Amino acid sequence: MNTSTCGTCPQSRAARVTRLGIDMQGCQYVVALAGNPNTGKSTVFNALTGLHQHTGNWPGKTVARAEGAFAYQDRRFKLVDLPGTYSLMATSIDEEVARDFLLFGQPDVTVIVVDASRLERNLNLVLQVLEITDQAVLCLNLMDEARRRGIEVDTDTLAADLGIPVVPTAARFGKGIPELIRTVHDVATGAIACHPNRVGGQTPGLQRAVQTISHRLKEVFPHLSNADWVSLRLLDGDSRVAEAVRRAEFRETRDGGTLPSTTALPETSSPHEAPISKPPRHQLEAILEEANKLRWEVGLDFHEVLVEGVYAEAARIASRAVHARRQASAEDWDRRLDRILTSRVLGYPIMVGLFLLVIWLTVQGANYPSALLSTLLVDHIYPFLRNAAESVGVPPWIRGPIIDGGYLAMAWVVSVMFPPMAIFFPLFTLLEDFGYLPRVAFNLDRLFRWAGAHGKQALTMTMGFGCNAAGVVACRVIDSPRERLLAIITNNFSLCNGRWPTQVLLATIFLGAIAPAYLAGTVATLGVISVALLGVFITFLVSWSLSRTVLRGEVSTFHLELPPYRPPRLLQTLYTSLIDRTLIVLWRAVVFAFPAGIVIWLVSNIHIGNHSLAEHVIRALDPLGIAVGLNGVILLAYIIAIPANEIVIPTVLMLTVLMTPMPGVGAEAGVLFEPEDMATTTSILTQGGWTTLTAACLMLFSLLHNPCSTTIYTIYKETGSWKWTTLSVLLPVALGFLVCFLVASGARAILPSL
Amino acid sequence: MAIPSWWKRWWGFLRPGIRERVLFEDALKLLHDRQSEGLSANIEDFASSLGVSRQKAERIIRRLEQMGLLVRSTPDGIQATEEGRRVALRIVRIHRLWERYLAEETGLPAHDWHRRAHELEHLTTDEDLEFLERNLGFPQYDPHGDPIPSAEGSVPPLRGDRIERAQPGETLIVSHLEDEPQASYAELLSHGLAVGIPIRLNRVGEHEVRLESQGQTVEITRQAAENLWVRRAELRPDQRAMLDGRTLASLRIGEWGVVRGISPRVRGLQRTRLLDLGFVPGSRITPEFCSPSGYPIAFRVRGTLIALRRDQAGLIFVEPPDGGSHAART
Repeated sequence: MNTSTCGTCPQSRAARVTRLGIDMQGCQYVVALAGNPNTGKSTVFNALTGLHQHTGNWPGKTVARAEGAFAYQDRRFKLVDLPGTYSLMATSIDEEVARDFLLFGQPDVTVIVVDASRLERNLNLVLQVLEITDQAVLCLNLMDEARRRGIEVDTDTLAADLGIPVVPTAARFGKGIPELIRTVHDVATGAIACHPNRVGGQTPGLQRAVQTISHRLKEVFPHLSNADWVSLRLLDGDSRVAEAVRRAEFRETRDGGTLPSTTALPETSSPHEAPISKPPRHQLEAILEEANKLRWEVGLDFHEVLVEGVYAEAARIASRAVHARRQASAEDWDRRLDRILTSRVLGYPIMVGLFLLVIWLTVQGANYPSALLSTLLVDHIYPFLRNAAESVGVPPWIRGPIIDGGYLAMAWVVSVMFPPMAIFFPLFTLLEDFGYLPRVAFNLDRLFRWAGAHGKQALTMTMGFGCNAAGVVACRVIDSPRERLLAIITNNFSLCNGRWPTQVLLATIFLGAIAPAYLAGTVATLGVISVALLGVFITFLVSWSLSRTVLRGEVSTFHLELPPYRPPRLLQTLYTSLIDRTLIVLWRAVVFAFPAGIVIWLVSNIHIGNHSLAEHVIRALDPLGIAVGLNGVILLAYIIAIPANEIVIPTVLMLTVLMTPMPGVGAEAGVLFEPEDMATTTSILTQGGWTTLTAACLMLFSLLHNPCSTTIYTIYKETGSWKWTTLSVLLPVALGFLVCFLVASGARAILPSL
Repeated sequence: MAIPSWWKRWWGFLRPGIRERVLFEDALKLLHDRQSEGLSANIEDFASSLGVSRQKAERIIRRLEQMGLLVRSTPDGIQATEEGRRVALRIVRIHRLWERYLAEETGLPAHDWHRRAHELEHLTTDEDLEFLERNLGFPQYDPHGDPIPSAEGSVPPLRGDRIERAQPGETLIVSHLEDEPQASYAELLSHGLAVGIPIRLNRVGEHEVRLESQGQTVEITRQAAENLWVRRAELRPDQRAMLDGRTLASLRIGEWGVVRGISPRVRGLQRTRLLDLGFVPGSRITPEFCSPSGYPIAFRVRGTLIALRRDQAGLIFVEPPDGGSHAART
């Protein structure tokens, strides 16, 4: 991938390092990357492989496992980025994935990334990793930050105490990476031998039990290098490890069929580690039975005693290696900033101000590029393609669906969606990089707690204002199962970029019209804002009721890490997040909008009897539509435009003209269009029988209907469950029909003319 | 493994013969409960406990007798046979394992465990049972402190004794909370009592029992006290801190305290998560600042800021640095 540029520059050649990106063919060694959340693990990963994993100052960015590769001195290394975890006790899915890979994936080297400024707490995980594996390198990352905070780490003492090599790095600036690569290479090839410090078995109070089990395990598995750790896990009642003992599979990988696809493990069994002959089953069962018996003799607080022991050792090692030079100014800075950003007086105003600023920049900034893209894709390229197809002699039944249908829908989605996404998300990422977002969650948690949700939902909700699919992905930062599901299911109630234009258009034409001219703009704006706020209100309401009913049994935990502030890296953030968004928008346009365009063209052009398919369906849907204050055209538009909210209005206009033709307006059947001026749009809609009630109901329905298909797909991927996906689709639709029906009935009761 | 979803449970209860099976199993369980308390059972007991008419209860008993699961020596003396006892023990075992599972692996609150386990116990196959037990690490007691019968039918001893039998002034540890009748159980829960919580008995009155728990004096009715079992114990440091009741929530901004232990009420993922974050005995913790709305509070734990909510902070017990004469606490 990046070989052409990186491999030839002099610096790189000197170190003989090649970043191979995702080209993982023929790798001799597997390197795992472990570490606490928010220690810059993803940054180290990117620095090693030359890839652009999304990084952020935010615990829990990496959930799915990323893989990449690099080469050094003719040897190829496959790098596996494990999810950031606080521990390996396998109590959450992330921890299980990380632990299983270290235990069963048998990496040749494990690089443990730690935050040099918070070494003591990070050593908790380091010591646990060292219990499992022999071959490890400690990557002492964020050295720049530690220095800013006046913290010095004696790497020699640390290396001696841990029994593994220690490499100081500042991965954000590429410092120390060549040394890291060299050390990884040396450990992999055996040039450096590791003698890791193992404390678990020595924890006072557990010693006897551990030794008993460990001794029996060694009789059966003479080559087991981490017998103490396995014993500890057996005593702690870890059923996965018990299963491994039962099957004698310590030399094998497992098939990843039982975990969700994102967590499936690779086939990494190396040929030189063939399974040894299996010991008799009764012998293994006897060991497990013994462990089950001893567990209850040790007492109920097994886990506690264990973690306490590991932390005590971590504190001892850290106190020998870490020297705080002086009361650091960076720390004071952070404190002062926190006092302001979370203060009683300024906390909320700053938050609201920043939010409005981001929205304003997005709306204002997107106008021009959006018009430009639209002119380019719709006004210039579209006629060109059409003429070209005609002159080459492509038959209309091919040209129609592909160019008039698919291409136009795609162009529409790109021009409406791309500019706001490309502005909104980089701004968001900058705030994220700086470390402000966790403070927002902190300020708002009380409100969300009332609804049974997590404070971090404030952020996923805000992200939803940009794009619901992105908002759903962002729910990964919520590590409590119940609250995460809540955030995913309710994300659709955030009015996304694709729906804002619909709101603005309808509010301007219909709501503005009922007010005196000088107030028209204000009334329209208020209308749109009310709908958005209604969405927020419904988010809380639905979260509240779901957490007390359907999601009651899901596990719920809370903690919120507030990372130190870090100066954001402007250019890199903008670049990465821009690339990310462009790819998502384009992918979505091709995969979802293109087929939708074809379908839209087809339903308007396939005729049964004297009428097109669309006309038949619209007639059938009309009674239902009118009952809820809408009409058949709108319902059909929502059915066929499910892939993308932004083409709902063009589809509605096209179908309305199809039903009630107007001279000189619109193109042919199935071709999306947008009238030159507001007056034409108004006259089309009035002609189609629209009233202020229709517009109001459509504004509500646009807020409360099923998520677009990209979001549905994302929800399925993130939850891995049809049950939750179905709920997230049906719940908003049901709410939409209910609310629209109530509004329409109420309005008609008051004004029978509607 | 997860709890069978609601539609599986519904479907389970629609299967032919299931209603009868539920009644049979519940009847045998009732008999087992009575026998373990040294009591016998008559038809009326069955009818009221199962919520059926006397005739129906009669039919159930006759049917169970035909199946060889119980014998009737006199009209009032119904006894389970060896086989009947075995069936009852299996149901008790499933019920208590489910309660344990619900407590450790789900977010259901304590007053839901019993009801949900009762629904699940009749639908559990032997494979489910084995899987459940293995996943939980072969536990010996359910979250109420009731012993779980092993697969072979041996039952670990029920620990402790009713609280009325203890002496005033003694330090005790809650060993068992009987979950029926529900009103009594709910009363105990409302005082924050759970298995493993240390208490000091003050007085056993005529109508009430007064005790100290988590830094507060609690009065419970004699009726609820029937459900509270305790055992005598020398308190460990974490239990002493728990009895004193000083928690992270009682520290003021800028003060510090040393963690002694986490309340036994915090279970499963939440418990291990707190431990992994550094809320372990011996950690020195300072509340640094709070959210504009009061909670959560950001605590400095081993060099990192971790925010916790008020209810969580109230479940982590600390010892102030000067070991007790901590005047700042109000």
